[in-house]
Amino acid sequence: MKCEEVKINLPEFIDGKLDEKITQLVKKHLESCEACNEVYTELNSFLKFTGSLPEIEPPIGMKEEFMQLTEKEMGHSHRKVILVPDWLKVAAMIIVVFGTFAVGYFTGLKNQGNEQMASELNQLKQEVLLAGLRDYSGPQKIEAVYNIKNSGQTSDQLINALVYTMNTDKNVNVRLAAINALSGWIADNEIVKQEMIHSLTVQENPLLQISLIQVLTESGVKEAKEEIQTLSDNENTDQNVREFAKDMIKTII
Amino acid sequence: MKKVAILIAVFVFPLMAFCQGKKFEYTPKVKNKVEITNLIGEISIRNASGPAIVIESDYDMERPERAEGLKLLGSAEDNTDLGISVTEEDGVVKISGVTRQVQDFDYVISIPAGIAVSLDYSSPFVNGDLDIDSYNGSLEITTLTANVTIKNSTGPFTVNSVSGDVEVVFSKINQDEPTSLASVSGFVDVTIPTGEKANIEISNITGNVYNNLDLQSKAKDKKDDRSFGMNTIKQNGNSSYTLNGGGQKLLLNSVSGNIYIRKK
Repeated sequence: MKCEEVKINLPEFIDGKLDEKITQLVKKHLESCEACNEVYTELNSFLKFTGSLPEIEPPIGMKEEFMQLTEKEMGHSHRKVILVPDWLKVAAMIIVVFGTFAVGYFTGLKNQGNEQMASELNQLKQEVLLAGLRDYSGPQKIEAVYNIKNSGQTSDQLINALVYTMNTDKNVNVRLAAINALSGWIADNEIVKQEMIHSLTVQENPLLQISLIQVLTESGVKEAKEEIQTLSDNENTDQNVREFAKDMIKTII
Repeated sequence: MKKVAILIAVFVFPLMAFCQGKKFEYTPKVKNKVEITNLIGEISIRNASGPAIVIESDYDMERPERAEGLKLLGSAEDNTDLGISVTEEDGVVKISGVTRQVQDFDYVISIPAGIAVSLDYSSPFVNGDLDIDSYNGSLEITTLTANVTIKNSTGPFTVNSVSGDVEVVFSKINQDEPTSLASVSGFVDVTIPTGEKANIEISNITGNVYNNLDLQSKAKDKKDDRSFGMNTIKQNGNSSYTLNGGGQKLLLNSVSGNIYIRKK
């Protein structure tokens, strides 16, 4: 188990809500990994203060334009992503989990509380995944993209975040990772397919153009033919891309 | 005797000139990120020993007498006396060249541990290549034509170039965050010490991939009767491999350049 997975699972681990197999994996990891153990210790002590703790505010200066944009695109508002250091993010999850549990426990509606807790936790997990795409360094963002890819979650929010990353991130390597992650959904998700076709008209870097052409043609997306043709015909397109587009277009029947 | 004089002229004088170079120190309020832009001179990045960002340079540009009392129009203020501006906003320290003349000078920038660096070297006026030696930390590099050589370092790195070559000799592979190296027409060459773990993902179109490491393919072989007993060789496309049981991601990408993966 990797550090990222362990950190994401820590709240449930402390709460004893993980299944036995994962519990063992987390335990084993904590024994050998000093960094995660430190986070775990911090979390445990943090829990003791949850009752008296005020709401966690994002540090001054952390920009929020990414979430605002998703909110606009989604047409309705989301819970604000909490942009704080890793361990605090996890701690924030704990507060909600603990809070929900307490409500459920004290009102005697334990089952209902658990359901609510599960859905809250799920939402928070997504937010932690999304927060990884924000103000972080290139390598951290690539890690975040792969975390989304490997999380098995496919909500509109996550897909929107990846599309946004693919089209706008400053770092070409991060965009490449986003294309790679999105390509996994292209066969069964119409939005992803349309967004990847559209992205052909957005990208200027030859590496990204070629990656998109490769994904679209290998997945047999016929609708992309026109866009690939346009790219191939455009004299301003990089020679490598033009040649590749010309060859690959033959595979679209 | 003449030879000695030449030697002194070639080696000692430039060294002396460099030693006499100027220095600027800045301790960031928030230890988070450094962005270097428009600095088109020769840049070398090092690990700093203290908490301050240290910039050393042989910058020595004379202002025309006529410019007395005037400011450079359309550029940030040179608040370092090194032809660059250093500012901090929203937890990001921005280091930026204020005039194109910085391309004639060398800059050695020392970065304290725990700060991620992003270096935009993609100006067409860039003079020279990027050489990074013994750097441990997060580094993002973008170049247009400049080659990037990173030696004896751990990363994590993201390097992206259009026509420059990318060469990385790892001293160790950082296992916390991935490394991604990409070039359109340049080669990508990585050297990995024995025993290092990684998940290597390779993507190439027309270039070849050369390797002397024991890479295990992650793809399940789809073998038919005809290929029974033979190894699969994949010429191009995307492929994933594990090295020494797998570890952090190492993403290698080139369109028309070759990719080299070698043992140290």
